[in-house]
Amino acid sequence: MADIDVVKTLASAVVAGTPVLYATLGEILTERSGVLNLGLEGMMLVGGMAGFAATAATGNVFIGVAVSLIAGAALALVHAFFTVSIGVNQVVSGLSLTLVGTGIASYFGKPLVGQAAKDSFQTLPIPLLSDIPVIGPILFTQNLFVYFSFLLVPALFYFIYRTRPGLNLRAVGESPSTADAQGISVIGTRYLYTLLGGALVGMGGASISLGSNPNWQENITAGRGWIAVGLVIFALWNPWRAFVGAYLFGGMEAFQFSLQVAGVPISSYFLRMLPYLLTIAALVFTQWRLKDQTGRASSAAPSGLGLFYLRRERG
Amino acid sequence: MLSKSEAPALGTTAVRLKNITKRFPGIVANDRVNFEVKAGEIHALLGENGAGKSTLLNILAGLYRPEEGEIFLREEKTTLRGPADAIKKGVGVVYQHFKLVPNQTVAENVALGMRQPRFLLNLKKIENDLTELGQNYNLAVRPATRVGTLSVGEQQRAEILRALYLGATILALDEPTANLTPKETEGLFTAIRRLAEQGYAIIFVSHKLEEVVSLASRATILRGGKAVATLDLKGLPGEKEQIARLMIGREADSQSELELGMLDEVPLEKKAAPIPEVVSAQLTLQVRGLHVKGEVLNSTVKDVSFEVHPGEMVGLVGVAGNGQRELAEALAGLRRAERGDVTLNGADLTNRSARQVHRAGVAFVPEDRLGVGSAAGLNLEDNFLLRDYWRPEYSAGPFLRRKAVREGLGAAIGQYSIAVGDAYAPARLLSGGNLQKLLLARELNSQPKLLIVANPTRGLDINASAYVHNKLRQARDQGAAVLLILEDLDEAFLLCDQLLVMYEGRIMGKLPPVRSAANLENIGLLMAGSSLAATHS
Repeated sequence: MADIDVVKTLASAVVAGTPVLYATLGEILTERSGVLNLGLEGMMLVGGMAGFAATAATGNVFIGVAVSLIAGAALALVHAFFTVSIGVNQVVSGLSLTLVGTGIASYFGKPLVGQAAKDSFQTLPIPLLSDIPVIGPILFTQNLFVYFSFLLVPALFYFIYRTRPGLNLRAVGESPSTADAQGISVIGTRYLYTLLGGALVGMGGASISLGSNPNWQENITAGRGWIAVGLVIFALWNPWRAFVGAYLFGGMEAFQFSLQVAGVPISSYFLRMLPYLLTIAALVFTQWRLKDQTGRASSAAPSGLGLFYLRRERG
Repeated sequence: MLSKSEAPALGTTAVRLKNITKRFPGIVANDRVNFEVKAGEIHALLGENGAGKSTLLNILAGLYRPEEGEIFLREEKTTLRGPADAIKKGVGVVYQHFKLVPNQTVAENVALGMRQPRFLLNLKKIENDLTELGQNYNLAVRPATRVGTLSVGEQQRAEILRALYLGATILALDEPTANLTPKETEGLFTAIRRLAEQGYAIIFVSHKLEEVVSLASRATILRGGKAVATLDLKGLPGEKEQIARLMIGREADSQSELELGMLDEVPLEKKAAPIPEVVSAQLTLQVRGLHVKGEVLNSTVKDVSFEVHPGEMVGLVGVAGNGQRELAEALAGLRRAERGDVTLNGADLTNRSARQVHRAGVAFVPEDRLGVGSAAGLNLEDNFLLRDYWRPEYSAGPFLRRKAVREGLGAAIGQYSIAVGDAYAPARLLSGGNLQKLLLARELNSQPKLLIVANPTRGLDINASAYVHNKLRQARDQGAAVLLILEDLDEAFLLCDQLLVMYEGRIMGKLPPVRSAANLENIGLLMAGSSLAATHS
């Protein structure tokens, strides 16, 4: 067995998991409001491309990140309009969004292909904390995207479960008619969290093109948007579990890369498949565990997920 | 402070609706309705399905905006701009289908309607307040429990407490007793009376006349969207009859009187002729030791055994969700039984397919007429054909004999007086009554030996209910064994020859359908899961 530097592998696991984590957290917010957005892959690509281009134009990575947030939200706005206002099937709208997003990113990203980012979030060791053995290099010798995600996970958890807007968000996703009868705007809530979720997903794209892999390539996300869709289910719509899921994926990614570097005699195509296989396995395992006492499959999904809500105008 | 606004002084007008008109495409749901409730009054709102009760409630709740008319709350003219506005102005509506988020706690559900505090939740405080408020009004709930795990009665108490906690002084209850056990109903009435004594204005929507006259001091009757009368209820004889006439708009014949529960006992001649001895000796349906996994834990059918004889109508009563549906579906071949067996005239039907069960002579009309009983998007002809398309009568090899089907449907439409404009309209456009008639026509077409019907008249108006009841009696009198799944005890008393009470998947006991106080109490005990008092013989 080839030598693998465990600390280095784990550190790159965190790096690899971060974009997926953002996308998963964003989708959790959106789905909690009852809107299923399968356009993650497209939104990540557009966010990554727009952020990269804005950084190239301005030379300022913060502007790039802001633009990636806006780009993700803008694409999500299209989804919100189609699904929340008009009632287009959410699956169809989301899939189209992926196609459109991929196209937009390819078209506008073409002149950027092969360029290195003008500015990006560099590794920024945190004084003192980064000196802790093992944990220091893994968790505290990272870039700003990673640090921010550390804060975002507990913040979102607290927001969803402990605050009034979080309670309203959950109610809208679980039972829109109840929320409506209690005077909560279902449409407003769904728009808000579809946009916020989209912004986070867009930033997830930027965390690749301006963070872990600061140059532009065609299809830079390599299916991570889809992985995030699966991880939302694995996470049972809970930010903490998303954290675990994203790093599981990131860990496998880093591990297979280490194996490749170490020259293990297994086809690299097969190795690169591993993180995706693991995600599917985790998903199956979650669903299997969820079978309730009556032996029927159940789900932690918000009950109103995927359903169009219109106040019933006929009593 | 528990409730934010104090109830107004007794006797002042809490709600006045003046000439309220609300139109929906093709229908005037409320036509210049005048309606008034005083503080401290329990005011019943009565009417058949489609009379406009729900629309009026939704207007009060701020969900619908009336096209014309004025709303006065506490003698002040107001407009309700939405549900939040209505809550702020002291209106609380408890719907028949509760508006609660099942996987949030009671306290969280209460917090949903609150606007303060804006960001952080203080659930502990709400929980404590709810416990206290519940004690004051005889409305006990467990505030930190998830709503989905509560009984129907407790969910209802949670709804009422939420309305009170949010400051409602006007409380509207939509068919509040529909899914309660007799004991829970009694508890609810105590709470309602106590609220009224303290100056709350109570609007009590119901179609059960017995309840209305015992609880309410006034009643407003809606018919066809119009408020036809407001009566003072004084408990005089003839009051129920008067209300019934106003509700249906004509002299109530004895059939309608039965449907309305106006007669306490079913007259003898309405009862089935005594079952001939020869027939009663042969069992039609025999269920032994049946176990069926349930949708939820309490609805798992456990060790159920019973029999239904030809010419007998047996009612399976109980609060919804106690395994009735699972049992019916297992008998109809729609759900696997884990253990036990089902025989029909001695032939084993355990875990046979729906088609085999049907061929053996079992007909099933499910409660969900549009979802399970019919294909909503298909037309009447196709729906009529769904059960029997494979019979040589209606098909030749892979081809359908459309002409024969049309004739069959035409005959059924005539025989069951199904009011249809167009046999090619999708089933979802049929009224509940007509759809039920169509399903009965389809199921009875094959002369079943066993007929299983779940809540046969839910959502139907009085005339359609009477019609359906007659068809069920007819099927029984012609020798079919009939098993009814019923949640409405009045209907069970009216129709059945025997009652089986179900609780948490078990049959708790077998009782006669007699409306005596002792029997009612026994049924109530069984429905709530206690075993019978020793006095029962």
